[in-house]
Amino acid sequence: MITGLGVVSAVGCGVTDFWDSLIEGKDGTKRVTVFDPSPYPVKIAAEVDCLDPEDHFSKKEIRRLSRCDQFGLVAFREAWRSARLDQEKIKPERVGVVLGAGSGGILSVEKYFRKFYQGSKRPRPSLLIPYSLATTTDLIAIEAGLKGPRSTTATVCSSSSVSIGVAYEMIQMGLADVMVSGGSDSLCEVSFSGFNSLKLIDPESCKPFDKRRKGLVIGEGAGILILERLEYALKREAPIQAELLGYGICADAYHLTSPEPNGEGVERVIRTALVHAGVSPEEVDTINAHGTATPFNDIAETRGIKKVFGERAKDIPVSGIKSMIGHCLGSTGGIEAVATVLTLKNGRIPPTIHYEAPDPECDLDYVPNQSIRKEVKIAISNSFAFGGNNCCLVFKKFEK
Amino acid sequence: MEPRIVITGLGIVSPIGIGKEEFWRNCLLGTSGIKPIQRFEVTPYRSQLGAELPPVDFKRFIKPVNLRRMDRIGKIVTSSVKLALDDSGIAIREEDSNRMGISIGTGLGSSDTVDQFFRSLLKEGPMGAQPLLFQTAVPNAITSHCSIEYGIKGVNLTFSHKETSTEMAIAFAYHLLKQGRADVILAGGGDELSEPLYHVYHMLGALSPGGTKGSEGMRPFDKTRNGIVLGEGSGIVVLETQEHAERRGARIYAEMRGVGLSGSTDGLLKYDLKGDSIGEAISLAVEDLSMVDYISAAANSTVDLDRAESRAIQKVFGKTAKEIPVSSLKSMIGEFDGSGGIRACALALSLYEGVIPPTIETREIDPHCDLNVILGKPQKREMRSALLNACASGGSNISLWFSRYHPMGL
Repeated sequence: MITGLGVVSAVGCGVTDFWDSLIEGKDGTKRVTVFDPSPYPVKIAAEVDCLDPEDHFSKKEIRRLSRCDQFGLVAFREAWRSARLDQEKIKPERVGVVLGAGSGGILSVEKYFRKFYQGSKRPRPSLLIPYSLATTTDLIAIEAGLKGPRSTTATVCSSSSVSIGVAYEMIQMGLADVMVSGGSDSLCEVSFSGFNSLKLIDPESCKPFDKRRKGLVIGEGAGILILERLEYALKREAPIQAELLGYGICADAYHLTSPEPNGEGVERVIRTALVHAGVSPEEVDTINAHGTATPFNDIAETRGIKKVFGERAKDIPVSGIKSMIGHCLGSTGGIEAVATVLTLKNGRIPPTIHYEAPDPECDLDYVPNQSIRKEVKIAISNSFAFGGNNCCLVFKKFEK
Repeated sequence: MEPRIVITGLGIVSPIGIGKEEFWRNCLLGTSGIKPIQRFEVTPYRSQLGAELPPVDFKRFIKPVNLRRMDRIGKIVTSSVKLALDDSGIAIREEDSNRMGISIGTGLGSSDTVDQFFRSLLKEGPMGAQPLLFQTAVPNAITSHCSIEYGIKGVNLTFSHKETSTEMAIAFAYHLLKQGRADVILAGGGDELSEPLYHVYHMLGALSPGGTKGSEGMRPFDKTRNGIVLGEGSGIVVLETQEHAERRGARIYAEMRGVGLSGSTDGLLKYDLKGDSIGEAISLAVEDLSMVDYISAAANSTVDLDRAESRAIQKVFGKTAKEIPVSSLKSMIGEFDGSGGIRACALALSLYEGVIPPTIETREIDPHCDLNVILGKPQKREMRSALLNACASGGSNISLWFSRYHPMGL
């Protein structure tokens, strides 16, 4: 059961603003300010601008927290509050944290090494504290005194989806009653220039499934979900947002950066997830796509979806919300899981914006430009990482 | 009924040996992998030592076409995967690739590649950024290299959580096998000793200092211990369901029996100071404490951890704590986030051959670490079961429980 949700994104901080923006079709793309983008051919990203660290942290804390840590902590606090969890009432050993990471604190580490390599003033060592990808996970656990299972997944684009699957297992295997999962990530020059160098970035906007698409718009943020064992949630009368039925994780085993082009990896991971969830393809009402708007992903994903759902595929609304929030790398699985839960809860499906020129090879219903009202019971969320590390989550609307 | 999970292959790339035979021979000789660092300049630092890998001809293990795409840590881990697969005798072509999985842990992954990439950015600007470097720089590139090299299409995990990275990879693989999500999972991982990583550890005050600051070295449980010496390497265990292993007539080193996961909250750079959380992980992993005949310790020559782990062992095992042989392999291979893969391999060998490697360099045990630490020479001992502890600064603790394998169960 999912009992708590927290989110920080380029289109809004907090679940309410985030959801309103998604439904409105708001575009989170803006000029990068976190570092100087002028040397880059592309100067845009889905940067978070709704969070002022001084509203949430003391000056001393800000010196030691990376941008990724800050997003994670803010989203966690919202999720914890929305789940109505009480630090006094939980058994700390039964509450754990498994998050997904992308670049983690690299932005802070870059600041340090820029100064170090350019031989200017002595850079401050506290910038190196977030060197490990475990940092945000540990900070959240330490803040709330959580002593249960603790780890961090690191498959970048599918990281925080995988973390949700791992958290699910921790509960299923009786190792915890409550698990904090999802993930956080921030813009940094290494990611920004890396994707640029691979020519996977669209200089204008993110246009999933559109014929004119050129690639990603890099995003950042945090999406945190609190998972709970059903009996535990019912006993403490927790607010239940949705149910996590199951997940699938598998590999393309194809190429370091390109997906297997016929959607074979996509098909396998969706099927694995559905089998695990005990759901047949006929029952799936909507899909939160990975939809990165790279030429390859969108075709592979479309093909994979068709292989699973056959003729019915054309009737399943497929949302590409990266068109609004960007590709949030390590946090994208978590943020998109939050969006998927809200879709089920609110009976509305967010759009794929910037959709103007249909691609004959991508001919599904991508909910173009306008959200739609639809009662949906079962939704899946796809996340496919570099190197073909694929993950699919299956959610169900909670009905009392 | 849940399947029993066994270890059928070991792959080791370590500072004291490449491959199981060389590694184990050196373990039992008490060979130290710790020497002055050669691969990069350490004169600016007060610490000079590290346990570096000997030169390795990676072509022995990896096809040239894939080798070209890998960075050093990718080569190290993929080589250990190859060694493990060969050791297990699994005929990959005859297996269902969807039922084979891979689960890798790495604390700092491609730290060197990321650094190289960043430096080229600084030097040449964005137009000089090299895409081939970037695609290997992500932490899951290592796992991807392995899955592509061997066509492994099943479950695919990468964990990165400091000193419990590889133990989590092994623990989660165990859970997935128990759930029937796979028949075979290659689990473990590693880390490399890169120059930027060394710099960070130094700046954060983690390294054992030399010169005027004291005696530099790796001395777990020793009264004069003052910090870690970094090492590098990778270890992979082939985890398999008992049924799958028996059906193909596999040699079985040991059985994996249990996992304990916990977290302490003493601080971002702090271990579990009181040892309560470590004790919790041990208690969760071990069903029958009286069966534990050896503990492969997390102790890493830091004042805090060695003491906390000792407290935990004393608290959990009570009166029998002083009898249980304890040893820290890190005294030979150094401390690194991804050491758990090698340590798990070594523990499987200990159970299989009935011998415990020594903790070297340690001379005088700290009275606060009042345990039966095996010093100097290996100890022959028929063991029923053994425990592997892993403790991360920041608080993650994992204990893995293994037993000697018996077809009828122990």
